[in-house]
Amino acid sequence: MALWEMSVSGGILILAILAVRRLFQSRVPRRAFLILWAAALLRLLIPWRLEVPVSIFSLLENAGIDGVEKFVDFSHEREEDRMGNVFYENKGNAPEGTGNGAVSEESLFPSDGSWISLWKILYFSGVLFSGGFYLKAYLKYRRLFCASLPAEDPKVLEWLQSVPLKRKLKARSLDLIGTPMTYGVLRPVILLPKGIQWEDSRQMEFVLTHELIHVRRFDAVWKFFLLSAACIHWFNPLAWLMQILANRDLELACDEEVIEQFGQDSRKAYAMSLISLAERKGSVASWGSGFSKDAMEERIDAIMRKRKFTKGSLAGAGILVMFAGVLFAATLPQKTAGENAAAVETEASENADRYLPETEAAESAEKDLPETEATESAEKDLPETEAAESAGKDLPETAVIEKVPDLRQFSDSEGMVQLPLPKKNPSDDSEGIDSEAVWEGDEQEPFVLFLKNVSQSAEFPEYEKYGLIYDEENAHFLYDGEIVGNFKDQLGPNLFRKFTDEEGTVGLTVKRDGSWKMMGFTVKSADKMAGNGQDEIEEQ
Amino acid sequence: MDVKLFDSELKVMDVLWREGDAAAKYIAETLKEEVGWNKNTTYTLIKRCVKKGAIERLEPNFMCHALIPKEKVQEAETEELINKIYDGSADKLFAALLNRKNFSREEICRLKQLVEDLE
Repeated sequence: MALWEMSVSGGILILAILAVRRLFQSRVPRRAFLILWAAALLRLLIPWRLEVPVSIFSLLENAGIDGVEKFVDFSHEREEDRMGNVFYENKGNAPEGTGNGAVSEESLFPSDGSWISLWKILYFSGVLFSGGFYLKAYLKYRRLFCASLPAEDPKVLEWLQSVPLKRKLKARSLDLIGTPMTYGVLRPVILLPKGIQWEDSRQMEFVLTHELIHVRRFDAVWKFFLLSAACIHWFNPLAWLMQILANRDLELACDEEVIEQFGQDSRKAYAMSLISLAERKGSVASWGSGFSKDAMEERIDAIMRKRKFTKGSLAGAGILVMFAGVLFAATLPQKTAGENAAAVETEASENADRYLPETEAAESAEKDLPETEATESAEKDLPETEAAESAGKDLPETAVIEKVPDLRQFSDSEGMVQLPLPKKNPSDDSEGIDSEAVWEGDEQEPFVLFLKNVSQSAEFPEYEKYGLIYDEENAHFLYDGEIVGNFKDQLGPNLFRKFTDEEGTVGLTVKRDGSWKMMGFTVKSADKMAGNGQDEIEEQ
Repeated sequence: MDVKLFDSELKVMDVLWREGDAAAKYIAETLKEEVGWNKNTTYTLIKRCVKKGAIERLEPNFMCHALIPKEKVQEAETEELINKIYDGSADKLFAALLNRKNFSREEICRLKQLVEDLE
């Protein structure tokens, strides 16, 4: 899955969360928002590729929204091409409606190799720059924090003793910080400003409990992933917005829990002790993490407005969480037609071992593709890839495979096989079977597909009965342990199946009786057969 | 000349003032026990003191000698140090982006008023 797809779908999710956050701010527990952010994080960091019946993409596409169709079209392109479009999304700044711009972008930057690599370089230097920036800051602070001194306040130490936490929690003091903070995940440390004067023991408990909750909830890990997502999607402003807002929500959820522990009545005292900490000379307006003044106001506001959780608010939280799940699923990018087909293809090949009754096969063939269409596309002698692409929009690619379970289904009015048959050695085909449509491409892939078709044909179980094996992994037919180099079968009057496999050594000709029932194989060396194969078929 | 030192640097000096000249290795061991610093932290701090002219490094064995007496050292003022340390650092940049700065008296008053209003 391409990065830009993750970025766009993640961005849509973030926008939805922003709306929800605005609507339900103070009505539901903050923790519910964290679950929403988690959904967005997962989306941004993990290349999900699940198939869901309904997704925003498919809905919008059905509604004929241009931009989205464009997205879907992109997905047919190669990975590298998509990379280029990432930057366009960013400029557009509105992931939903980027279709028109994308067109001009494409014409501006032809998607040949030079541009692709330029985009790649640009992208990765962005990741390195933003990632390196924070890594450097982290290492710097880590070094400063390492030089902290053990906290000596007996009250603090006493409080630490009473903390039920599996990890060992320490408190240390540092003269370089203005407000309390925590660091460390496995060996968490609460860092207190040197010589911090508690107004009363309650304030100390507020502060320490707040930090303890950060530790207990592994908020540092959250922050790490939020920042990672922002660095990976550095070109997406929504990822940065999420990083900032989710950090705030972490803080607010933490406040929320403090108040739950100390009781509703503690709200004012808690808010006031926050403010008095901010008031400290030389302190930076942060308590554990970076906070702007607006954020401080938001925090005070949230604390003071915090209500007891009622059944209603908890139900609201439940709805939000469900909403997160729905959103998450709904913004999953669809599988592209190609991948779809690939999935079904493997499925189909699994089924290939099974014998398909002819009628059933014929039915499914008819359903998937009207006969006329089949002949049409076959007459054009489309190379496989092209055919798949044209089929990709309304038909699964498997049509290519499933539409040939039986060669006879594809005979035209004169009973001629109109399938593209590979002919590795053009001179091999004499005029005797001019009715055969011969595919002359050099590519290996269509040939492999052809062999696969044969292996799924209605006749294959008959062949199998007489010892023909299809080695799917190497794409060869095997007979008696040897690769079949030449294969000929006359299925009916003027109906032939034949192929040449240059790696093969054995030549097989199918023997059939008067009512075209298979009697067995005539085995020869492949070379010999290539020489006089034609005569043999005419003899029958 | 007065030298301004951080708390952590003072801790290193303390060892020298208390016990006289000592090898860096010894200081590291002592401080590991006392305040739980790892070797690298202590060595970094010693080097910083050397740079500030508080410690003289003597060979062999990285012997450390205090260049200034305890009375001559000023405890660096926190506010100044924070600003100094944060200057040009990543945090400063990010803080600027987030419009983060110290609260003024008026802002504190406004926040307190907000609490009263919402009560």
